[in-house]
Amino acid sequence: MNTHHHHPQQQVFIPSDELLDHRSVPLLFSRFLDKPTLLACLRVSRSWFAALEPCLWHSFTLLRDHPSPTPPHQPRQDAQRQQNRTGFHPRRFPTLGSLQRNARHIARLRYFGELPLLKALVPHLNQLRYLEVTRYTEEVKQLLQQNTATLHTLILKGDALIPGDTILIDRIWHHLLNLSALRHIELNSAIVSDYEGTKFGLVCHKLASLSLIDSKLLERPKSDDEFLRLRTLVLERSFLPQEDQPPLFELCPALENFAWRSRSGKLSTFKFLIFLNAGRGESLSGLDLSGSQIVDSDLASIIRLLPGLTRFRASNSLFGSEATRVIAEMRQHQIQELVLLQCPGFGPMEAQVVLTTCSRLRMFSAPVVNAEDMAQLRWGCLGLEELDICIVGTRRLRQTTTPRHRGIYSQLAVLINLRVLRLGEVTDMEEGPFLLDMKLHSGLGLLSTLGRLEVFDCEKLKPVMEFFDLQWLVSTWKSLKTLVGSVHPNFEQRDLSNEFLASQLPNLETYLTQAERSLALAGR
Amino acid sequence: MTVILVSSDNQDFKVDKEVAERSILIKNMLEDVGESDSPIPLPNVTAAVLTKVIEYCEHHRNDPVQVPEETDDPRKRSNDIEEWDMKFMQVDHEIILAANYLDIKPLLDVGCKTVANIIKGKTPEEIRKAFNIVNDFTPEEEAQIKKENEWAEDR
Repeated sequence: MNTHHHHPQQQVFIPSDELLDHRSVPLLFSRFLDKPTLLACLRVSRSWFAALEPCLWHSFTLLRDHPSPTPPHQPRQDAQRQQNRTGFHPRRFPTLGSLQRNARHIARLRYFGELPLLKALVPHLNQLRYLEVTRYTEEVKQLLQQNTATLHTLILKGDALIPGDTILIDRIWHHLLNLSALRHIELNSAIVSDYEGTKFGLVCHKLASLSLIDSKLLERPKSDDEFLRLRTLVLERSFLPQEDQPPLFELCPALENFAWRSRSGKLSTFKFLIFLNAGRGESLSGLDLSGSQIVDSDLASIIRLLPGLTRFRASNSLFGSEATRVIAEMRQHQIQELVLLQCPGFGPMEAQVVLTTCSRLRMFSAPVVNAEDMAQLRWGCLGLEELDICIVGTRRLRQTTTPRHRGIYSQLAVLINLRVLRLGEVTDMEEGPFLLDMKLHSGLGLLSTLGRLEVFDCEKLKPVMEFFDLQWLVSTWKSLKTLVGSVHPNFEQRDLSNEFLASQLPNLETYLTQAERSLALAGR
Repeated sequence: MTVILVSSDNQDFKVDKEVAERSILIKNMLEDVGESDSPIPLPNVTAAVLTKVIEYCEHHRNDPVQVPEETDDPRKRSNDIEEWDMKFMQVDHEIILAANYLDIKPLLDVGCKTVANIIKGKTPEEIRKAFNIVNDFTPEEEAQIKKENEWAEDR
């Protein structure tokens, strides 16, 4: 690198664009700030506030339990009564003035429930890129019209906390035609009427991902060209024209992720295999056939024809020994995710084959693993990050070592990359209670190697952990964020246990069951 | 092949073209101008800052070109800075501004992550001290901002 002074006459004139100055520097690093730090930065100085306040509003969620903020004219007493009735805490909700002033900065909006507030905000929401709502109302239609050049993700689905809270979305395709930036759609209860095939096709041409859940496609998309941009296609419990088998698949040559999750319809495997055999599956890396009625041998054939397969889900299916053999012989060094819950044909022997051969496996969910196999397992997948298994046959383990379940715990201990562990035990009720009791004297201490664990779900173990076991848990698993299961000595001491856990790990969330956790997540 | 970059204070920097093109701005300029020996003026970058930028680009000359991310997630990680970058980076907003102007995204990211790591977890007063910033809010204004944005603590 040489330097010397330069004569100005030899310069080439380059016009400068509008420049950022030092006042805009906070804006540049704001994307790396967590929320508490961002809030602190707002109070540093006027220029930092001006630069950073819009960042606070970039992503905004309005939940069903947020009533309209008190208008200025409403008497204080009424506001207090409203607060008492709804449990609404004013400090947790922005003022109407603040909302209206900053709505123009909102790029990601999640809006759940029938809140009248949206009507007041709609005129200001002109920079939306992401919109997730539960109802297709007049306000939502207006938002689609106002954000034709910016909106790239639209999610319209029913409220998970209110079963049946869906309104059939009719004639939405006409409104989606004008959204030039649209790339991702997820629709619940959509209809493609028997005259909308062309519009549906025109919309599909733009998309990178399309998810239709509980929807009805009375007409196939009409298109002379294939959907070259579509990378992800999810069809769940959706009704399609009888002749459209496999659904839409043949129109998407660049598909990377395909999900056909249906409890009612049956995928025409023969046609699917014809398409895959013609090379249509070369780009496919993720496949989800959960709930399908495809037989084991056909699943094996499908996997054989997918050279790029890395993520495969087939829970509640007939996945069994043949498909396992293909995974172990042809995909053992590429498969990263395998989710096979509630597959009666996938037993302990099949699970052992997967765990010993699939070297790149990061996520594995299986119905059962045999305790004796588990105790002698030679892991082929030491990089596992998520493991969801139930252990069967614990009582048949020879108890020659102490702690009594050293074999199982020491095997789990080598999986030092685990972030999510869901552990259960399958036992005949006549045999007595569960043996994997998650106690220190039974071998729990061996799991001290799981320093990265974030989610521990022992709901299916029903452990009875004493105070010293819980103390060990919070002092060892410092990354733990979620604990699912009844880990308390007894029900009466549940509150005390939770208090203790919260005092040691303030960010820890505890749930009795996975269902409780799912509801809580849906409510956020 | 080499190119000549000219800083705002008229210092020349002779740099390999491959290194200079780590800056998308310079890359685009070179494509527009075509084969030319004309120096490229950078009126918004001083010699001191340009020296640092070139040092960074030379160290990273063989890194793969970063692809723009489509994700909208505004909360990015800041704990993945390389050791060399950590030692290289000084808290200097001029480097961040230069990286933004020259469109060198990896350098911009490193600079921004470094700053973010410095201020993470600090109070407003501690942040002011770290960057020598004068507080131009009244106590009432600062309290009002805190109160108005308390809702965001729960999100």
